[in-house]
Amino acid sequence: MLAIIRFSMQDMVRHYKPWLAMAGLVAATSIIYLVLGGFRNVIQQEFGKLPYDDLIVEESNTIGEFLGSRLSSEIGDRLLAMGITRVIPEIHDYTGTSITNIIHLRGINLASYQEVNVFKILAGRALQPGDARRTAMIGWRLADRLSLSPGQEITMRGRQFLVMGTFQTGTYVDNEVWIALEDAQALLGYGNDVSVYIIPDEGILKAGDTLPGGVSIVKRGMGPQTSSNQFESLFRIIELIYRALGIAAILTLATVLFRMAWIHRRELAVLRCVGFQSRALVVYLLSQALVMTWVGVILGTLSTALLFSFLSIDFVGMTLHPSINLQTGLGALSQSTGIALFGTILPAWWFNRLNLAHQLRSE
Amino acid sequence: MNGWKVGDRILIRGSNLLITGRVQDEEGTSVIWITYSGGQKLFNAQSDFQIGVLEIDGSLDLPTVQASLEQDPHFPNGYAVYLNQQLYERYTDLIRDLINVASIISALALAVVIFGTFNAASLTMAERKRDIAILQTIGFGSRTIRLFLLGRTLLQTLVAFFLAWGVMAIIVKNSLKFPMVFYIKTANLSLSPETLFLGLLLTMLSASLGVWLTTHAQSSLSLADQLRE
Repeated sequence: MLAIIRFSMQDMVRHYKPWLAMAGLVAATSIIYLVLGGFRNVIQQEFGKLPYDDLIVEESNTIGEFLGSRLSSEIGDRLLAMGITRVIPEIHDYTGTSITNIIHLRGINLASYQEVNVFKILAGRALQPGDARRTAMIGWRLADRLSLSPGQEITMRGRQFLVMGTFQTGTYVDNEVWIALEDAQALLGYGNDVSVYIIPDEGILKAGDTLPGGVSIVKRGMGPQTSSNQFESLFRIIELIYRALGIAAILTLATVLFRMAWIHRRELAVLRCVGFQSRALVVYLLSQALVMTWVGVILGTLSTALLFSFLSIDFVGMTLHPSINLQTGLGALSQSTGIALFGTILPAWWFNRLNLAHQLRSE
Repeated sequence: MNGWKVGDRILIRGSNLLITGRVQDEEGTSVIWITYSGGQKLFNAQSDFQIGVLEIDGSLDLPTVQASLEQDPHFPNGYAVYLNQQLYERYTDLIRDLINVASIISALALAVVIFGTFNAASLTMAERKRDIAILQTIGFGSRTIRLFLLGRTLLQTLVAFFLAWGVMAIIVKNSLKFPMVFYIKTANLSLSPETLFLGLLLTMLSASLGVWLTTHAQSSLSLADQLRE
């Protein structure tokens, strides 16, 4: 068996050009698979399940948690009257003069926001009760995008806010700026209104319930998750391209393997004559296919890692950085192994059907 | 997209709005138009407004007016001044990075064409090494052989391109039922003559490059070496 593998590898080295091209083809297919996986990873990471079990009270027919809605303070009083133990108001909205310079803004109740928001301070400090008006804390992605650090000012709707600290949550929230609820109400002209109320899931209200006046209760995190679904149509197209390339890779590999084996049909026939079984041909073809596809995957993974080092998507005030995780990497490896297996079956079957005597007679 | 019809009523931020008509703009944005006073009421904006549209005297140079307004000290920071056309360009900016990703995928697809044609051509050269050498011996120049190989490859590529076009036309037709929507921007897949022509041109160029890479390396071998192999 080792002898046939050695022969197969020597043959590969001798005719290295088609194999290099084939590895390039597999690498291109892997890159598309990894790009798709990378974007799906980042969407899952940013908009997937948030680490909260709370409920959101918002206006019906809105994605209040993500794009904002508007509720009167009277709704908050009504929730408290229903016996809900913790009713925390927030404003979720955005500012900017066009779609490209949107800033996602969150107005927070300084006394209670830390009860419902988990974050890590990276620089400066968190906002706290008693802070002066027009102070802000900003997510690290926004800080990165606007090149801001604590002590500097961020401008929203013509007003300057002093940055007190930068925070990290590990989700899309890292693109937001947080200011005091009163500042947000004044800045956006909300009066006493808010966007949402965050309440605990303690059985009094549940996701799917509605309140009179067009108010809905949803699970926290569902809004952003639903909003991120808009990328799915694009992903489906990329997936289609990937599948088409996968089929092309299998067919090309089958052709290359068959034609390379055809060039060496006499040598292969001689090996059969001196005692090698017909499965030796499968080993001969499969070893070439596996080496080539694995080289392709390594090439593809390295290229994708390089691509991801500068590729990001700025999308309506959010920056998405795709990344490869172990699962995606293993997925690419198993897909390419599949290409190698499927690409080997056809030429192996075809070649084994050929008459040994005819092969020996060939020059 | 939502199945809304003229005469339907929709609930937005607690306001019950009657659909009186359907409009289509060239930029493919999916927005709801309501009266200015209705918008003020809906967003509780009172005397505030979000965008002021200025009608500029036709004799004035628009970019100069724009620059002048941008530098006007009466306008506080945080306000932008731009031309009407630039507003629509900014809508396209919404999906700029997604277009970049699509460009990367297109480049990869063209690389696949190069690899594929290189592969096919180099295998043909490997299989027909002696035949080619004999052709050269009896007077066919390497340029003629290269042209023959190129012609054969381009013909195959052309057939593959038109096959792909047919498949893509079916996909595009089906995808129109489910347009891609990114916030207010609706993106429909379409195959314009320009796209097709550019695709054909790039595919042919990539295929030619694949053949050239193969034959270029081959032409460096001497005839005697080729005959010996």
